[in-house]
Amino acid sequence: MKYRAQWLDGQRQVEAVADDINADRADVVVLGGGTAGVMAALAVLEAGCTVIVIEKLKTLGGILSHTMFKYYMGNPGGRYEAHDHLIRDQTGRVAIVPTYGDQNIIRSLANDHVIRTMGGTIIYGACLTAAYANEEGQLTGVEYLANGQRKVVEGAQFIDCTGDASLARLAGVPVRRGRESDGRTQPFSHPRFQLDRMQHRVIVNNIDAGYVDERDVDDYSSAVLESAQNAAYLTRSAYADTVAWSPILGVREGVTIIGQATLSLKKLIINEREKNPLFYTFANVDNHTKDIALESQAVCDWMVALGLWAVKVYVPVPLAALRPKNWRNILVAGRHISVDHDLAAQARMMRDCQKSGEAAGLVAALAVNQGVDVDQVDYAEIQTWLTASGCLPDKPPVEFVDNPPDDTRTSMHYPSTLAGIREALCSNRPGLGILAAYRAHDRPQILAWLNAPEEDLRFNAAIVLALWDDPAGTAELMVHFQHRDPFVPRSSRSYNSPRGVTALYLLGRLGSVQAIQAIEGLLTDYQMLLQDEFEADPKFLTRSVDYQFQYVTHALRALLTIAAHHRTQRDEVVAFIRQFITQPKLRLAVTLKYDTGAPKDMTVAVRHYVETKLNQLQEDRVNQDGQK
Amino acid sequence: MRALGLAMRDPTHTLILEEGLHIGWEFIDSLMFEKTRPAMSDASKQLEQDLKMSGVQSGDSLYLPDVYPFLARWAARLGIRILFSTTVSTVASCEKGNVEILAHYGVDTLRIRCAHYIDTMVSATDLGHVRRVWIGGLAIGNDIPDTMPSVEIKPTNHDQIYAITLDVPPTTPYLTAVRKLTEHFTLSAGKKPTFQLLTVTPILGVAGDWVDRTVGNVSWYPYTRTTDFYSAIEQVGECYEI
Repeated sequence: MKYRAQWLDGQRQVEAVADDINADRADVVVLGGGTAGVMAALAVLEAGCTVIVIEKLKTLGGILSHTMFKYYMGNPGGRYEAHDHLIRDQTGRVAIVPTYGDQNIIRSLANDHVIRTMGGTIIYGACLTAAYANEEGQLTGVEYLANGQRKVVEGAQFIDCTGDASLARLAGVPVRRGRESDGRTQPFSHPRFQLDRMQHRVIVNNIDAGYVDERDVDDYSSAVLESAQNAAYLTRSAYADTVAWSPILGVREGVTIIGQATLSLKKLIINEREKNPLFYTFANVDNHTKDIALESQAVCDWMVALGLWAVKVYVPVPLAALRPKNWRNILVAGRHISVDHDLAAQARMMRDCQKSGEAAGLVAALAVNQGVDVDQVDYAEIQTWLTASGCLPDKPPVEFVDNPPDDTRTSMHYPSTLAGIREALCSNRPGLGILAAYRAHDRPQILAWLNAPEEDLRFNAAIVLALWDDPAGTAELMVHFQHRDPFVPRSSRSYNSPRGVTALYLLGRLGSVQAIQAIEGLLTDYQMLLQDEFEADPKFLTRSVDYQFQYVTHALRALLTIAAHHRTQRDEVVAFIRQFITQPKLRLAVTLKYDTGAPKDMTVAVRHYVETKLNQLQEDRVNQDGQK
Repeated sequence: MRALGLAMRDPTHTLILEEGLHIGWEFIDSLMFEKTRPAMSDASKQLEQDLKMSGVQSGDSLYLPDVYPFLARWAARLGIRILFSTTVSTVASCEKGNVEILAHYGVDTLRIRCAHYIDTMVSATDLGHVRRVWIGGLAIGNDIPDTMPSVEIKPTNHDQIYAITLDVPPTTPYLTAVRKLTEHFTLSAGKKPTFQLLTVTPILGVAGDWVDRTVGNVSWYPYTRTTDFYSAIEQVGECYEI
């Protein structure tokens, strides 16, 4: 007996079916022939196993073939490098306009050619419709629709490289999506290709296009249609000609599986690193949102308190992050590995997706060759293979890599001594020093610095204390908040918050009652914020509305947190928040990165966030009263 | 394009299920750079005005890669409802004389009921009467080479950019067609290229001599009857009345 699972009308349905299904078969079935899937297939074939790749488009390569041809993050090394070399060699033989990055047409041809030459099978234009499992609860096959026909492919191991955990979801693997406050993911792009006449090459317009819940076909479709009408796309350029449109969206974040281990930003901050890595992701925590106050505490700590948005980080990825719970023969590779929303922005880069594909393909093939489950493959053997290809470095890399603003000459590094921490905290690039101090847990020293004559040292010591939930630095934070301190540290290439905003966020994080009056005063006069002078940042604080948006949203977040901390002040604070958020003339807007059009109205989104938090407060209150 | 024309007549009661990410993509991406006749209907005249004002259309010549955002804005203004990335798998009669469609979006199977279902898709292999199948693309250069006689080359209204098409046998797989086209652009050793491949269309273009068909409340109105832009939008069914 087998079981067939499908999603119908938004519900997962399972039915018993006959055991003898007419199906093609391979050792390993790769779902999705994109960035990760191509490398997974190559790794399977090179380890001597058979593979069938099931792809929804007419070509392989995913983002690399259709949306973004240039690596800009992720670290070099791995099976993909030889493949890229082949593509460059082939490109040199064709009279074809260069692209910014590797040539996408040649890549599509090379992907197909290499996999077929090595004996792999590729099914194009296939839509995944169902998954089959046996009575032991292990996957036996997948069903797809292509050219109007349904077919089944069976295998011993399955690798989900779909980007949206399609196979995992069919199998019933739980997934997570978006941030906790409202479920939103990173903005997506609707890429257009242009001929850059000046440089005679094809470039990609990659304009942030807002937010979308990909699981909701109506939401997704509205976003697709709206994003195509971006003002930049409706204006012709004298220097660049539109030549094509990507057949897929540039999705920065969709769902991620809940795996046996989960990578998270919080673990990164507290220095809890995974053991036995298959590879390292390498990028900054490349969050494209500007409504940071609506993100988690970990994201706010990273971006607003530490100011580390642009700093590049190596994060070790173990096999357990590619393994869904309760399944022995499914691995995932690509942007939907087990990573929380906060760190998903870091773990989505193309090289890293290729590495995850290579690692998953290798482990699946070794499991087939040895006749064991994937978790029984010896790590030392995996390590040997992956180190040989360069996917896994010989020794762990240094955790952080500086990424300074263009006009900054001083370098920032993670200090390992007390003197180094002090020096960092006295500088205008204190981010990694604050993190090192936070991890060092030397409270007496931080308290001593809180009373030091150097203003930078005092303020940064107050940050460290606040991150420990220690209110000793409250007075220092109040000074910078009440003066709306415009000073912007330069720890990060971009997305540095003015100190006034940082102080505001941390006062809220501490649940500081003494800040209530000042925060309410700020919100009462929030239109005045548009008159403030501020240091512009082309990616973050582009216009006055962006600056105003940061103060207002962090003020609301702070009041909500204070109300949650203090029952005696709760009713009064909640009443103020309700009055503020329901005022008919309230308008909050923010620009999207690289979008030169009108700022995006965020009033509804902020109201939704506040209402959700207020409802949570009410529920907490009922629960607390019930417990009494 | 044909689906848009049908939806344009009654936007509130029409739902377009689109396999890809772009409306009208079969037409636009086939890069049928033919001269176009003027728009005839009120709705398509609005689109024509937009395209002319923006410079995408000059006279009877359209630069197709620039059309898509204007088409999207036009469809949005008309209130046309579209579900993207949705593949129809099953069409069956159901109670009250309606049609039930099963369509796949990601791993989700959507069940949609309607009074009438119109299929505007066509592929190179599923039907007879195929007149022509081709792979298209754009190329750029100063000198049109005389070394690729089987490639049709037409100027566009963008300087030095040409629309190219190469006819292929109807059963040719897409990537095989792409490979054949790129073979025409093989570099000669030591020679600097004067005519370079710029893009390749993401689908094979198909033209045929088939006619509209309706059986009960299911119609087949293939999109490929015309290579004229406004005719493609304005052509509606002769057998089906709302």
